[in-house]
Amino acid sequence: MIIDLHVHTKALSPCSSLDPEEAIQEAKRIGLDGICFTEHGKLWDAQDLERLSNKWHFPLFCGVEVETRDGHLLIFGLDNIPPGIPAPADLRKAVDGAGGVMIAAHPFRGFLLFGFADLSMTLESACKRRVFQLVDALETHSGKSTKKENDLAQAVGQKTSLKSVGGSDAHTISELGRCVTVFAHPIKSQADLIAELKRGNFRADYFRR
Amino acid sequence: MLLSYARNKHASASDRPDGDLLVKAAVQETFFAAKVEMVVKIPDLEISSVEGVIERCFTGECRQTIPLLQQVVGLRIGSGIIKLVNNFVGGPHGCPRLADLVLECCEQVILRYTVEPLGEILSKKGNELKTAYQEFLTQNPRLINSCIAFAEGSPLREGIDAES
Repeated sequence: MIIDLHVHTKALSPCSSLDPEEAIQEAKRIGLDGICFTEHGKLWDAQDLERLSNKWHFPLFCGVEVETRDGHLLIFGLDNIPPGIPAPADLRKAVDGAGGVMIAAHPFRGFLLFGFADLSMTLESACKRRVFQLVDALETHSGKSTKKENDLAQAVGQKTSLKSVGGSDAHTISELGRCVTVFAHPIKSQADLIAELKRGNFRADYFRR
Repeated sequence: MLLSYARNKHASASDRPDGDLLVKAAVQETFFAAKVEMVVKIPDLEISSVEGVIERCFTGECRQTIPLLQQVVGLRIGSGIIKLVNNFVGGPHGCPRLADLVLECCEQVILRYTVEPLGEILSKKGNELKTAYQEFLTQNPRLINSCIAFAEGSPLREGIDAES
């Protein structure tokens, strides 16, 4: 089952121009099996999500992208998002308490900038980021990261044995589905999604070129 | 009535013997004077220490914001840093001028690694310059549409699709 695990819509993320219903139609058109709305610091109302899913006969899921001191984290299964800019360790405790999942979003986005190559960042030093000790998986395939940044994230994922997810981080319709998470088993509900993310029966991939 | 006003600013980054960067930013103006000094760990670009002093300010309360600087220790200079610094140092109980000095330091760190390669591009002429810019944009797709030089229709954008 192919799911774009990281999508922003204008319904709850002011920086996005993507209409939720247009996102669903586009997802169906390009062959996705489901999409997950992960707005900035805000969760979709479960009933609104279900209504939309039923209207379009299309699987919809929900997470949230939280800004922390150590970058953005995708959170699944947490109903109350801490205000402000939480420390990842505090967020981890909250996620554990709720039985959720925490994923490092686009971990190297913007880091491998032009001219930064002479920083000589090694795989070993990249793996030492504190936040990687706290998350369940890495977004190794991000539609908003460069190929180099995604390659480094994949190498870190292999070295640290963290599982890899993919998400487009779409804010516009043409960005939807650039990267996806391919689940081995069908995902029928939010609970299924969290359970499969915990089990690790998935892989990340590029999808829309 | 204000008869005269002057503002001077300085920022710099220099290599330390241990390979890390020492970064300084200072502002001296008629009403306000302050400086910030930080050490940035390489290659992570992580702020490992920071000190600051407000020498002249509007009220005594301004100086009470100095301890907030410690909240930037551990932050990495990269995507999202502006929001984090403004939130931690320049927030409702902070000082936006002090936050600006921290961000000046961050800017110096970025310039430390980008000015030289950009200088190499600018030293080229004609088609070589265009090709070098196009290569630069291909490596940095987030810069596409970030300014008029990199907007659609610009010769520097020829052959580069914003959606690629």
